[in-house]
Amino acid sequence: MLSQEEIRLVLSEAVRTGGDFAELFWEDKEEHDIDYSGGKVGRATTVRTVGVGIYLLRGEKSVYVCTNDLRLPSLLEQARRAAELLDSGTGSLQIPSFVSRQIASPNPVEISPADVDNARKIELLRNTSGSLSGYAGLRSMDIGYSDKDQRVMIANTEGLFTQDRRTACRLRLKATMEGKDGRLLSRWADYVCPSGFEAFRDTDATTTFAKNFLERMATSLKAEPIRSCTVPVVLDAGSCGTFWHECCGHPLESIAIASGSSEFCGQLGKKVASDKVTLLDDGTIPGMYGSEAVDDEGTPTRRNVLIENGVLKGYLCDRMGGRRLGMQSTGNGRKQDYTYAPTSRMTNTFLAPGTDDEEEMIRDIDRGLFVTGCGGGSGGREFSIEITEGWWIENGRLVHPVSGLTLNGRGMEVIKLVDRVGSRLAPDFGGFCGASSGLVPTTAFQPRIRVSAMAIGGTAE
Amino acid sequence: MMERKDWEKAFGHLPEGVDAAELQAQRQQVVTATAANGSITDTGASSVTTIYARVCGEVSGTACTQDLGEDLSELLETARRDGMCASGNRLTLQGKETMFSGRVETGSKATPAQLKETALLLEQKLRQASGMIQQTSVTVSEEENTSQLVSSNGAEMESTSRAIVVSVSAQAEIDGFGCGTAFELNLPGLESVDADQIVRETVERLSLQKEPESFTPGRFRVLLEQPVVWNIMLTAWMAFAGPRCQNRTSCLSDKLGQKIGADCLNITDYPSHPACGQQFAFDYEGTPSVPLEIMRGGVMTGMLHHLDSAAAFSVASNGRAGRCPSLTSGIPNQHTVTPDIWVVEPGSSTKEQLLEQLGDGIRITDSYDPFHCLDISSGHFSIPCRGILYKDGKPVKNLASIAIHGTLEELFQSVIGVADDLMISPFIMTHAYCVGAPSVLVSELVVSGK
Repeated sequence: MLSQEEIRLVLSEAVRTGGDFAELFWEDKEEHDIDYSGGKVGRATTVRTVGVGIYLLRGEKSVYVCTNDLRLPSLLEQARRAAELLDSGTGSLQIPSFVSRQIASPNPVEISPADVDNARKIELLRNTSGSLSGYAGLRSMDIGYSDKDQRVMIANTEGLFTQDRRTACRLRLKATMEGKDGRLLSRWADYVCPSGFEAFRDTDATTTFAKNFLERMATSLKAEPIRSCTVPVVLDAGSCGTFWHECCGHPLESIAIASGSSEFCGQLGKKVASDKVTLLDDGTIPGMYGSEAVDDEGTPTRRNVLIENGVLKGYLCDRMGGRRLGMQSTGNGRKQDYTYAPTSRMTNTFLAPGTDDEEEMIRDIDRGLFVTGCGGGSGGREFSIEITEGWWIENGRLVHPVSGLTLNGRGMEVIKLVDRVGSRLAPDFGGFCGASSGLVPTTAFQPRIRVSAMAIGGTAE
Repeated sequence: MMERKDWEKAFGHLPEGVDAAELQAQRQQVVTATAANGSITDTGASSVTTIYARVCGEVSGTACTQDLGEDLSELLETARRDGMCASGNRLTLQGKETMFSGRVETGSKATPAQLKETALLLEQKLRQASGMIQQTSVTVSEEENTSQLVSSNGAEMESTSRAIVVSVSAQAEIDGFGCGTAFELNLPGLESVDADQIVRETVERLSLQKEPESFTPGRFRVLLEQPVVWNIMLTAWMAFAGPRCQNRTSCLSDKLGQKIGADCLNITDYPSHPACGQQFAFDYEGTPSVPLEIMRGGVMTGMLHHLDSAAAFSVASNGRAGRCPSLTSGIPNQHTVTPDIWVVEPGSSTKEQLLEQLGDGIRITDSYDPFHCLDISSGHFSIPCRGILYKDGKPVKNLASIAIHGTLEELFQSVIGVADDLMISPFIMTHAYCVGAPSVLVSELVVSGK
C-alpha cells in the first residue's frame, strides 16, 4: 500500500489545475473460485484485483482516472492526467493532515477464507452436491464456490484516511431441469454470506437451501399459464423486495434525480405512495450483504429514510450527486472496483413492517396473483421484474403455480396502490445490482404486501 | 504489457508437472468525455492490464492477476497450485501451427480534446433539436483494447483495436408526459460519428412515447424496432453457444443444419465489421477469429466454439473462446464462449416500408431488462416493453407496461421482413463484445398488458 506521504503527493498533483476536491481509492482484492460439476472439480482459480482510482472534482465537474500500475511515478502521471482533463486553470488547495478514521465493519469475519485450504472448500461442494440425488428431470447441476477478500483504502483532500475490509463467501447453484412435458427450465441461486468461511459451519443450511432450490424448480415446471389481466397482487415477505429496488430504489438515486430521468424529481415532502409505505435504505445492518462500514468514498454508511408513511423524505446520494442536488452524501457512493467512478447506489433497501395479517391478504382475493419468488429486473420510469415463482389465487385459495410472467409498470403509479403491509419482515440473501458504477452487492427485502391492482402479462389465450 | 525477458524466464522453468503454458495480457485503455447543458461535466481515463495464466500437463490450472509487479513464474505456480485440486481435468492448449501469429493494429487515436469537442457538438445539437427535450447527456469515449498472448510452444501474437463509443441519454416531456431514452453506438472512428443521424434517432425514440392507454391483449402482427431486436439478441446469442448445445442446455441443441427461422433471417458473427470500431483478431486460446455464419435463410449454420466444444462436435474452433465474470469479480475469468460482433443482417426494406406492411398491429418501440426475460434452455421469453397500436397502418394509441411472449424459434420462424436500419452497440457495461440489429416485422406474437 502507499504511504500517506505518497498519497499526499498524488492528491496534490491532481488538484493543481483548480480541483476543489480529490480522492485516492486503493483496492487489493483476492478471490478464489472453484467449479464443481458432474461429481468432480472442474477448475479452481485465484483472481487478484489491484489498482488505484483518482477522483477529482471541481464544482459539479468530475474526472476519474484509474490504473493498476502502482509505482509512484505512474500514479503521479495519472494524477497529472486527471488535472489536465479537468482543465480549469490553476489551484492551490491545501491538504490538511490525514486523520485516520476507522469504523467497525458491520460484517466481522471469524474465519478468513484465505486461511481455508481448497480441500475444505471442495468438501463443502461435494457434500452439497451429494445431497441432491434423486431429483427427477435434473439434466445438469453445477455448483460454484467463490470467496472474496477486498481491502480498500480511501484518502482525500479533506484529510480523510480510512480503510475497510469486505469479505464474502458464496455457493452458486446452477441447474437445468426437464419437466414431464419435455420443457426445460434453467435457474440459478446464490447462498451468499458477507462473512468468512464460518458461513458454512451449518452444513444443513446449505443442503436445505440447495434442496429448496430444486424443489422450487420442480414446482415451476408444473406451472400453468394464465391470461393477461389486471388483478390484486400479493408479494411474499423476503426477496420479493426486489419490487422496491426496481420501482423506487433506482429512481431515488441521485444520478436519476440529477439527470431528470426519475418521476421522483421535485417530489420531496410530497405524498408519493400509499400511507402504508415506509421505505428505507440502510448500509449498517449487521450480517447483510449490502452492508459496509463506509461507502466507496469513505463516507460512513447509515440508515436513510426514503419514504415515510407515503411521503417522500430523501434521495440516495454520493458526493457528486449530493453536489448536483445541493445535498450531502448519504453514504451511498458505491462502485464495483477501482475501475469505476462512484455513483449513488442502494445498499440494503427494505419496506418497514406494517400491521396487516398475511393470510387475510390472500383470503380476501377473488382472483389474483401470489408472487413467492422474483428474479431480476430493471428500474427507471418504468420498472419490470421477472416472476420466477408464483401462484394463481381464486376465491382466496392458491390453486396452481404460474410461470412465464413479468410484472411491469410505472413505479409512481404502483406504489400508490399498496393496500396491505404485513407485520413480519423477512430478510434476503442478497445479490448484485448492475448500473453505471458496475456490480455492487445489495439486498432488497420486505414484509408480505399487497398491491390492489397490477397488470400481469400472461401468455394464455 | 508483458516483457519478453519475463515470459521467456517463466517458460524456461515451468512448474513441476506442467508441460506447457500460456500467458495473456489484456489491456484496456479508455478516455471519456461527457457533455451536458453545454459544458463538459465528466471526463475520465483508465489503463488497466490483466494477466492470465494457463498451465497444462499432469496438472492443469488457471490464474489471473492485475498485480503488475507479480513475477510471471509465480503466476504460473499459482495456476499449478490451484490446478492440483481439479479432478485430473486437462486444459486444452493447441499447437503453434493452428494459432494466430503476428501483430495487428486497427483504428486511429483520438485526443481528449477531440473527444470533448465531439461530445459538446453532439450534446448541443441534441439539446437544440426539439422543444420537448429537457435534459441531455452525451459521452464520447475512445476504447483501446490490446491483447498479447504468448505460449511456451513459441506462439506470439498481439492485437490492438480502437473504437469510438457514443452514449446518448435524453429526457423529454410530451404533453406533460415524462419520458426518456438512452443508447450506445460502437463506431470505427470520430469521422464516423454522424451527429445528424444520432439526433434524428434520439428525437424519434422520444417522440414515439406518449401517455399510454389500455388495449385488449392477444396475438398481433408486430414491428420490433431496432432496440427491441438488439435487446433480445444481447442474450439470445447464448442459444448458439457450442458448450450449451454440447451439454444440451440450449433450446437449439440438435438444431444445427435445421430450418429454425424464416428465409429472410440471417445472422453472422464477425471479427470485424465496417460499421464497428471494435475488432477481434484471435480469442484467448490463440485461435484466429473468422467470420461465422450462424443462420442463413433461416437455417442454423453455425455455433460459437472454443477448442473443447469444437472437439465435441468434431470441428475446428472458430475462435470464440471467451471469459465471463463470475459475478463476484470485475475480472472475467470463467471459461466460456462469447461472440465478437453479433449481427442480425439488415434487409433491403426501409423501416417505413415495414410499417406500411404492419397494417393492424403493434409497433414495439422499446424493451427493458434483457437479462431476465429469456430462458436459453427452453427458449421461452417474456419481455417487458412499450409500443404503439396501429390500425390500418396508422398509429392509434400508445401502450406501456406491456410484454411480448413466445419462444425464440417461434420468433425466428415468424419474421416476415427485415429493415435496413442496422445499428451496432457494445454489450452493456463491460463492452466485451458488440451486437448489431435492425428492425424486424413479425407475423404474429402474443402481446400482454392492460
